[in-house]
Amino acid sequence: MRPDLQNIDEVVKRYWPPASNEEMKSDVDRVRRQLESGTARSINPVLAQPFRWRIAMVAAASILLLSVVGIFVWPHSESFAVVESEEGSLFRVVDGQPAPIQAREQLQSGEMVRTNSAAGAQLLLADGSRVEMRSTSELVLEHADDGVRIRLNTGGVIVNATKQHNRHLYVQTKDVVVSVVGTVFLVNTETEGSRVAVIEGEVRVRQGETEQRLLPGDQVTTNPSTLSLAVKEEIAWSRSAKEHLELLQQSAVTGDQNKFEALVVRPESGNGGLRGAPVRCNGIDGVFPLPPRGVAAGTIGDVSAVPRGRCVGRYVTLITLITTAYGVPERNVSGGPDWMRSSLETFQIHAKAEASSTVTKDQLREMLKKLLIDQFKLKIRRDTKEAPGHALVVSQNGPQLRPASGDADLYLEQNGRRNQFNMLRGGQITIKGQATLQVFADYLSVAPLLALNHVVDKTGLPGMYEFSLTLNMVPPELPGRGGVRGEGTALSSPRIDWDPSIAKAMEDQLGLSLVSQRVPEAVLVIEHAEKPSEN
Amino acid sequence: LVPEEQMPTTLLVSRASGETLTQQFDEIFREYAPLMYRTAFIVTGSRQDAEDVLQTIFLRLLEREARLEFRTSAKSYLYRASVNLALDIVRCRKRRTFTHEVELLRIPVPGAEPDIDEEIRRCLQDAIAQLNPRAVEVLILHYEYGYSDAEIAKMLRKSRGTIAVTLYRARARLKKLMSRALSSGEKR
Repeated sequence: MRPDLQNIDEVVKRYWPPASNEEMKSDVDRVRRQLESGTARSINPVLAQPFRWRIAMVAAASILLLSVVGIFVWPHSESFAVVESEEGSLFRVVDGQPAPIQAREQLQSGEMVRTNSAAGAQLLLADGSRVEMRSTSELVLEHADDGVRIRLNTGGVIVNATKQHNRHLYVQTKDVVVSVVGTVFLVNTETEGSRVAVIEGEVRVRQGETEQRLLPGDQVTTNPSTLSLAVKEEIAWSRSAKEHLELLQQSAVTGDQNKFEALVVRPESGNGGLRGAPVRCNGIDGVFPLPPRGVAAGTIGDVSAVPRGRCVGRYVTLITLITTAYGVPERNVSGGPDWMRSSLETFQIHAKAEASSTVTKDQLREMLKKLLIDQFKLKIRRDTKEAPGHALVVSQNGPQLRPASGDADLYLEQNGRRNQFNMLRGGQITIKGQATLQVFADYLSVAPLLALNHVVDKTGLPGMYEFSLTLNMVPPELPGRGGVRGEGTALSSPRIDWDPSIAKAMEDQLGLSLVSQRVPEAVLVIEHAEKPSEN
Repeated sequence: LVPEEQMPTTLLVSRASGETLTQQFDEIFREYAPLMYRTAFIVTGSRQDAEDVLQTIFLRLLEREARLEFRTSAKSYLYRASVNLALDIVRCRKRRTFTHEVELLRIPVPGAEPDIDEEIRRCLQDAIAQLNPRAVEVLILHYEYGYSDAEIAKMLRKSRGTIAVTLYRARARLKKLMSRALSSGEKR
């Protein structure tokens, strides 16, 4: 008698395959014994079939066909990767149609995944490697003969590959194949060509018949006309950009590519217990640290006295050297011996880069870090502490932000000029560009003029947004006004006032609020330092 | 089934020295083997195939001698692996059957009383094997283990709506497949 399929639920319940508990127990026990005794056998459903030659032909034809379309779907019985984090932006592409994937979902070999323009996503491979996808990226994860292959169809990824032992991890775009055995690197592919940049370790890049080896900070592009950004700019979109940057810096410090050829580091006392001017370095792209705010370049700080490609300082304390090299305020450095901060224990520094005519600020900064490690045997550790700062939150009326796509880029603009402003006259200054809220918060923390200390993103808003925040700067009261300039007045940074306040402007124009509170802040902990021997 | 919160987040399987199985392996086997076996049996309808599924998955884990530090639970991973491998076996078997000119299996033995219930059961099993793996996962959790949509959603980390829709579509597909199979059986 045919069952009533109109009530399919009842039919399924009634005819559901019975599983006997006793049989199950005995079968499971048998499997366990076989596993313990080493007599268990593994099956492969494909090869288990008869007429293997026919199967082999079908398989060969399938592989050929699938390699043409770039998808390898067999076997799918093992999980290949898992979605570690996504922000509603990750999709599985099946028959050309995207279907949302959630965090913790597993991906099988051969599956195509795509991020939309709102945000990226992070995948964890079975070997522990992590793949961070930029927004608007598409890739296929699949088995390779000797490891794992990531076919990057479009967009960018940062891969943190674990040690691969005898295996390899490959990233393949339409024009390059990158192979690694354990490293951190970035691959971007666009219509015009591909770019590969290394953050840590070493990768090999094959383009056609040529293969080259890349080290940290190196990058190659398959199309010379494509814009080549500095590696640190390339990785700015990453949620782990800070960590990657640190890795990059550490790798650069341990490398020997850039170093000082002439070096004087010696104790220098006799300044009456006064600290001297900070050490200053002069690269082809400018000087750091910059002269105090509000004072025209060339009038103080002996900037002009620092020749190109050198770092020079008199009566410099070690704490000053550290803050200069690492670009952190003194309050963010803790630990270390007492003499490190004493104005009675100061040093003379005069260092010249080997490539003094081409060296950049960033390279000089890295060389200064290496100097500290070599000469002062400096050992540091990074940590976080609670410090006064601001939390960036969504205001009561909700955000007034327009979504954007592309890479993060923020800058200050005055009178249509990017990053050029006359702070003595005051007037309107606009923060412009596009970024994630996290990048925007970071920018507010370090942007010139703003002096907001530390800003932490607590909006919870994912994705990239367009920013245009116009601030009205009140001309500062300079100590030199009224005939005092040049009379030996203590030079301090002038206070800059904004009318309305930055917080008010932000609320009105962006629908975001700045709330004063204690926020976690990165600090450097000095674990060891010793005085250099005279040279 | 073990409650979700008690599931290990790290699945560690390795072969210890002396070819004995490690304690972790022991725990994982004890905890999940029944679930995996039962799941495979429902899909394949064969004790032998269910054993094969169990052996194969654990052997693969042993051979890999690796840490699977997935954030997902071991249960989800092993359950899904069981469904996938069981479906592979069934599909291969079907292919093998047809390759071997054997529609014979479907031809009733002359003089024997046809077992209608058995026929319907086999029909249902065939239909289940034709569903996609994700639908099979949901179906088994619903009919075998009696989980509610909300419980399945939590376990598979999907929305409740997704589970309800998957279940609805799976039933509709089963109805269609079974109807077709039973009609062709009646014609014979």
